[in-house]
This record gives sequence, C-alpha cells and structure tokens, in this order.
Amino acid sequence: MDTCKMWIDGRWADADSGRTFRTHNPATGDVVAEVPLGGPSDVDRAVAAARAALPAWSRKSQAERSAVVARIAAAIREHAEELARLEVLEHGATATHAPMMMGFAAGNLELAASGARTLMGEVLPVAPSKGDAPGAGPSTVAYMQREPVGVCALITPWNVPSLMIATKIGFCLAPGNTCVLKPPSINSGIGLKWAEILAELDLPPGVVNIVTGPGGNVGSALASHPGVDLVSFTGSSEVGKSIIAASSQTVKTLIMELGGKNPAIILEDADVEAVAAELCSIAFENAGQNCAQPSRLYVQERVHDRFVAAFIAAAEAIKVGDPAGHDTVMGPVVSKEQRDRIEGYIASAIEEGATLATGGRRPTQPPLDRGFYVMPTVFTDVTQSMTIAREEVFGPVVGIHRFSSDEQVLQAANDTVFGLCASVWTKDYARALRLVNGLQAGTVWVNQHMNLSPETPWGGFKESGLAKEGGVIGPEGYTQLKLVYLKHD
Amino acid sequence: MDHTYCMLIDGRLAQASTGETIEVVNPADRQVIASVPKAGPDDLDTAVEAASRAQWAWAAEHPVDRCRVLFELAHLIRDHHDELVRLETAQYGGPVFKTGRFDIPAAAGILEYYAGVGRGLTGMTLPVGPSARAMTLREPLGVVGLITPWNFPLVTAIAKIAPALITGNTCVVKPASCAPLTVLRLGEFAVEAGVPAGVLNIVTGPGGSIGEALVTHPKVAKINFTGDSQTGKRIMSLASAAVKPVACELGGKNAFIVLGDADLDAAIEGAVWSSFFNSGQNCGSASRFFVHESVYDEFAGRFVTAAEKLTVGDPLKPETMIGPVAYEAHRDRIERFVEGAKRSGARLLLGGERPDTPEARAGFFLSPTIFADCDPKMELMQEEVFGPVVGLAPFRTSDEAVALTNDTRYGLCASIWTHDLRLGMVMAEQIKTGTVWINQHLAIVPEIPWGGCKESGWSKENSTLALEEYTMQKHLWIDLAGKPHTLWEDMLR
Repeated sequence: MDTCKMWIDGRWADADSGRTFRTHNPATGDVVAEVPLGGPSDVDRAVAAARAALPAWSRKSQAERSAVVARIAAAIREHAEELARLEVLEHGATATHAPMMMGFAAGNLELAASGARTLMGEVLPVAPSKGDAPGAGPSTVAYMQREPVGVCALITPWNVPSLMIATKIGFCLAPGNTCVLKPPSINSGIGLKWAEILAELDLPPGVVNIVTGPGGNVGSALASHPGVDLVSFTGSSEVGKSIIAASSQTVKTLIMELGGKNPAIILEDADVEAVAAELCSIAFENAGQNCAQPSRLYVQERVHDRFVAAFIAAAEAIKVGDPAGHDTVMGPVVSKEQRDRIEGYIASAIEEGATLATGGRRPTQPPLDRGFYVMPTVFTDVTQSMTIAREEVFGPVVGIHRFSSDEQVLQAANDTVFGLCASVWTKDYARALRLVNGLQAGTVWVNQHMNLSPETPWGGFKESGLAKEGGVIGPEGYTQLKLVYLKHD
Repeated sequence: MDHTYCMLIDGRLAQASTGETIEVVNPADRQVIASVPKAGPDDLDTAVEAASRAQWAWAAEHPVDRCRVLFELAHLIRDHHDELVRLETAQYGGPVFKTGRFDIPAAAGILEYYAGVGRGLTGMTLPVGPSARAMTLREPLGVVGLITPWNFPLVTAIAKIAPALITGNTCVVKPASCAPLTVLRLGEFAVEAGVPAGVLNIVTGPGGSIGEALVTHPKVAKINFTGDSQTGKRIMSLASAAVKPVACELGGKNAFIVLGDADLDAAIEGAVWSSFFNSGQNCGSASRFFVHESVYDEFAGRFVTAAEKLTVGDPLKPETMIGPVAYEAHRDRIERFVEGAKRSGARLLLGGERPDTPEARAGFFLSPTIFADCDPKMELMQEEVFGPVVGLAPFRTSDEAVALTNDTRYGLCASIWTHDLRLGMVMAEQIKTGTVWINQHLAIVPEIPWGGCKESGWSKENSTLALEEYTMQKHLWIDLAGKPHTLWEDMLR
C-alpha cells in the first residue's frame, strides 16, 4: 500500500484534518493507497499558493511555458509504465488498455505544449462611426488580447484518470494559468503519483497544487471559492449541475464535460457483422465507463435481427477477467457503489419491458466472484421512454433500438437531454452527412466511434456540457479575451 | 579547420559530381578556412529528384514525428553551440557576441517555435448551405527551393527550413557560397537526427548556375529567397515562365525617424545599434536618419560620440562589437558608396575609411560611417549599401518625415522615436513598410511576421504567416444534393 501526500505550493502536505481515506483495487477489494482527506482549509492553502504563483507564471514567455508543458509530457512518457500499472490496480483498467491511455495523455500534453505557441489575439476591422453606421471613435485601433483566466480548479474523473489529469493540466498551464487539481476520490493514488512526477520537474511552486478528498468536500469548496477563476470539471451531469450552481455566485468561467447517452446509428447498407463487432468492442471498453461510448444503438429495421445476433455473439465472446491479465478484454467496474447503480438500471430495464439478450448478471466463477464485475449486458426491444434509453448508466450496458427512416431515427437520437457524441454507420456518405448535420451532438463520427485525436477538441451539446476542451484550440478555452480600444489622434 | 564539408543529397553526405570546390575565406584575416563542394547541374537535379520522391511520405508522417525531427535538430544545434558560433563568425565575420547571443540560439528557437505553431494549422469549413459540405484542406506545396543569404547564415536558413518541413514540404537549400558552413553542418545534424533521405537537401554552388537551376527546375513548386533586390528581380523573372510562386525577402533602405520629443538617450542607443550591428549588413538596418530640426544637431553630435565607442576588431574576441564585412568585393562596393557620398557634398561626421590597426588591416574592415545633411535624393539615401554607412537629414513636420520615409523603392521597415504614441500611430499607418517600430529598431522575434512591400519583396518570414507561404488550401466540395446544380434546369423542361 502506498502512503501518499498532497502537494501544495511545491511541498508535500498532509490534510489539515490529519485524516486519511483509502482507495481500493476493484478486482480484489484490496487497499491500494492511503490518501489525505483534504477539506476546505487545504483548498484555501492551495488556492492561495496558486494565486501567488500566477503573476510570475503568466508573465513567462509562450516559449518558456511551452517547454515546461513539453517536459511534463516527457515525464509522463518516462513514467508511463508506473502510471499504467497504477491505473490497472486502482481503476481496474485492463493491462492492454492502460498503456494506450498513457500514450494519449502524453499526446495531449505535447499538443498543449505546441498550442502554447499559437495563442494570439486579433486586431478588429473597426472604422469610425459614419452617419447611422456605428463604429469606433476616429483614429482608433481595436484589438482583442488573450489572457489567462487565473487560478483554475481542475476536477478530474475516475474513468480515465491519468488522461484527464494530463489534458486539464496541459491546456490550463500552457496559456499561463495556475491550478488546483482535485483528482477523483475513487482513485486518488494516481493523482498523488502525478504529484511525485511533477515534483521532480522543478516547476515553480504553486503552479500546480494537488488536493485530495471527496467531491462534496474538496470539490464544492473549489467550485465556490472566491479565489478560483475557472472550474474545469469532467464527470456526471448531476455533479456538473451542482458545480455550476456552486460557481454561479462568483460567475466563474466553466468548462464542463459531462455525461452522454450516445447513439450509434446503423443504416441498412452498413457492413452489419463488421460494424456489430466493432461497436461491441468499443461499447464495452473500460467496462462501459467512458462518457463517449455508444449506449443506444439504433439499427435500421431491415438489418436489425442480423445486427443483434452478431452483436450478442461479440458481447458473449468478451473475455471478462482480472484487469492485470493480458488476455482480459474487460475488467471490473470501479467500485461497489457503481456496480449497485448499474444493477439498478439493469433491473429497471427488465421491469420496464426491455428484453435482456445477454449478460445482466455478475460472473460467478472465482476469482471473478470477488471484485466488482458485471457481465457485458445487452438489451433489445428498447424504446425511448425506458430509463436505460434516457439516463446514463456508465457501465457495460447497451440498449438496441429499431428504426425505419432517417427522419425517425434522427428524432429518436436527439430525444435526450444529452448531446455528447454520436456515430453513423453507412456506405452512403450523403445520408451520413445529412444525419451528421441533424444530430445534436458535440462530436459525430462516421463509420467509427470513439476515435479521438489530440488535435480535436471535445465537448458536448445540451446537458452534456459547456465549452470544448483540448484540441488545437485547447489553450484558448483557458483564456479570456480583453478588448482594447486605442485612440491615437 | 580540417573538417570535410559535404552537401546533403538524398540522405547522403556528398561531394560535387565534378569534384570541384569553392573556398571559404575568413574575412577577418583572409585565410581560407574550408572548401565546400561546388555543385554541378547533375547534383542539383539529383537533389530535386530526391526531394520530390521523399515528399509524399514526409507529408504523410504523423505531425508528432515531424515535430520530433525539428526538436532534435534544435537539440543538436544547442549541443554544438560553441562550435557553430566559432564557425559562423569565422565564415562571414559577424562577431561572437552576435553569433553566440543571437544566431545560434535563435536557430534552435525557431525550430522549436515551428514545431509548436505547425501543429495548429487548420483548414476551414465553409458556409455554402445544405446542398453540400465544403471545406479547405491544408496541403504542402511539394518541393521548395530555399536560397539563403550570408548575413545570418544559419538562422536565415532555419527560418525557411523549419516552416517548410513542419508543413510537409521537402527542401533543396542553396546557401550563400561565401558562408555555407553552418548550413552544411546542419546537413550533418539532419543525418544524425534521422531525417528521412531526400527531405532536406543542401547544395552549395554559385547563384548564377545552381541557384538559377533550382529556380527553373520543373519539380520545384516554389522558391523562397532572401537576398538583394536585384537578384530577387532576376529570380522572379526566371520563375515567371512556369508561373512559379516566389517568396522574396529583399533589400531595405530603412528610415529611423527621430521626432522632437524623442527620448534621445534611447534613440541614440537604438541608432547606433540599428546602424552598425552586424556592420550594417542587415536588410532591416537603419540607414536613413530623419531627425527633427529641433534636435538635429544634438542628435548628430551624440550619435557620433556613441558610435566612436564601438570596438572594431577581431570578431572572435568577445568584446568586439564590429567585425569585418563579409567579403572583399562587398567592402569595395560599400567604399564606392562612401566615395560617392563624399563627392556629393554631404558632411562626413565619422569614419569614411578603413580602421587603421594591424588587426583591421588583416581583413575586410570598415569604420562606422555617418554622413549628415544628406539630400534625400542622393545615391547614399536611395540605394541599399548593406554596410556600416548611414545618412542623416533634418525635417520640420511629421508629414514631411513620412513623405521622406516613403520616398524610396523599398518598403521593408522603419522606426519612429517619440513619446507621443498617438503621433507615432498616425505616422505608422501612413508609412509604407512591412514593419514599423515605435521606440525600437531591429526587434525581430519568431512570433512576428518579417517582410516588406514594394521592392523589399512581399512575403513573410517568421510567425504563423510564414506557414501560409509553404501551404495551399485545397477546396473540397462534397455534394449532398444528389444531382448537379446547373443554371439551365428550368430551361430544359
């Protein structure tokens, strides 16, 4: 078991409370790390440290900050194996999936480092007012300059822990902000391993601070803290709404990456068996615990039964097992609480009349009887009004719907409070692009799902969030624009 | 120096196919410091063919891998700092304070800059309505021919190579024959860094043969040239037969305008710097000084006093501020301008001769030279000298200063020295140059676009604008309507 400390103002710190909490291995229940139980007073100290570090950090040149973020990327690559191992232990990520996440994390940091050099403002084509055409005063230059927002609270989720820490820290630091990171309670050992890695890099004290503790405590303290200028949160829409509410009194800048109930639309001309296999593999990656995964599959009537047969076969072939095992395709879900929640959704689906096609139970064979496992679960004959068609399950549960026409499926796909992402599967690009244009989703894939490249910003419509994060415009999201009017005559 | 200098052609370090060489002479002491290959037409052709073959795969490389190449080259340049500084100084005479504090670190810095901004280059999605999805795709041009000068040998080459490579082009570089050594070392670093064969090629040879062959080669998509305006015109003319785009960063006859309320301490320091830094061998040097009549005499006197403190001598010494000019014929040319100015009746305040020390006599040295009361139309005030020679003239009104500044074929840069920002802005808007500095001259960093207008050329080096020089945007239209749109549909019914 690792005993870890928080990292505040460039120094190791216990929580003011003196208390700790533990994280667990979801495959075995074993304790992984003992982590300080931070609270509002620790948040105060961390925010103060970030505030104190802000002037010097924000006044560094873009070249200097870019180099620092690039060094963080290099450090993550160097420690990738350690971080991956911890992700397997503390999150239940599979041994094949975790290293990919580290590569993605470093890739996002590298892109953030590049993006640090590209940030610019714009000079605006104003003209003097003339008659009833409004304008600027005579002889005036008007321009927008990009400035860092200030102290940022970064609240990261437990599902892809290192990837989200990398993404938020990279795009936050690149334009000159400082931050307080609250890693997820469920796997905070990973967050404090990041502290160890960052501590070796000689960053100016206070530029990054890491405070561990529960969302209700540390998270809400950050969201309402008057010294925090921006909150960047990735997690459930429910928690997101409470953060938005908490931040509203001080009108903070928000980056919210929330939940999804993502539709994948399979048209009749798709290569049914291949698409079924690919979607199945994507849907159950990370035990269904990615915001971006497809959880509502809309299959055109004519190919529905073939698709369902192929999808079920693929789901039943998924090797569920110990995440450390190299042939394991799906590990456990992250905690008992999450599994209880998922099982509640499974029960409600059955009660509401969906057909349980496969899964819907825990594995019984040792050692899988220990650990928070749920078998890949597929429901068919799902209708729009059912709970599993409307609420984010965040587990290995997929619902399959039928549809007849493009108009109908578009309406059904959009019939949700969410709008994170979607995919369309067809050989007919014109139909695909019409659906792309009609879907209310922040990212739409055609003939793929969940392929993400660091250059592409991420963020959903509707209750899936506010703003986009990352990508070539990533650092911009962590800046504010100042308009300057300079009169010279 | 007994290093064997080779060209870089198709990933191999190569001598000229004819075996011919060119000598590189140290202008501080006239010693031959190296020989470099003198390419023949076959060598140039091989290089272009190699660049052409390598281009598709290079453009298809993951951006992360192109960035890694640039970072690795930067790393090697920094690692070899001391060696490159001495080589840069020895080959063209720029003093080590310059090559050590600027040229070599800036070369690495520009590579790092483009590894950054190069990843953010986007196309556009276009609002054409529901019948189509239209967008632009960013694409490299192909093989680019880069012809680079001797006054900042390595960094001017890097300023072209970095944006060219990061955007997926391959290059054939022809550095100035009198100062190719650091660029040739870059070729060796490219081999060490694992740059794929053909992506970067470096061919040394005379402009008249190799340069012209590069310009007219059918497989070279674009030429990017830094040098004098006369050569620029020749290149544009040659390229026109193939409608080949040419980016030119050419000469300047840059004005330094001192208003009556200028901070004279700062202006004097800026004047000395912008006139005599690099012995005035900068396209951006200040060479025409327009000084308000109320401060004209004081300015002239203090300018002379400050310039007298410049240490002229062995460029390898850390305390030397002014080294030799780059080669003998260049000094001869500068001296002809000086003689012309003397004959014209302008008042010689300082210099106008070669420094008379044993150290200076060993090489091609010239003293900082200041003429006053210059007629704005005289040759010294209209032709680019590219040496440590400047002319002063008074003015009465700011409008007159602007008119004098614009009365030139050139349009590279200018500076305005005043406390009155409003007046500075008004004048800046009226001055026809690519750069205007207020209370500064010769501040050039990777983030700013450098380039002029008129006969200074119209392209931009540095900044994200340089990326535009090396890419095109291809318009892609995907029909969604399902039938061609014609204008005569209803006429056919």
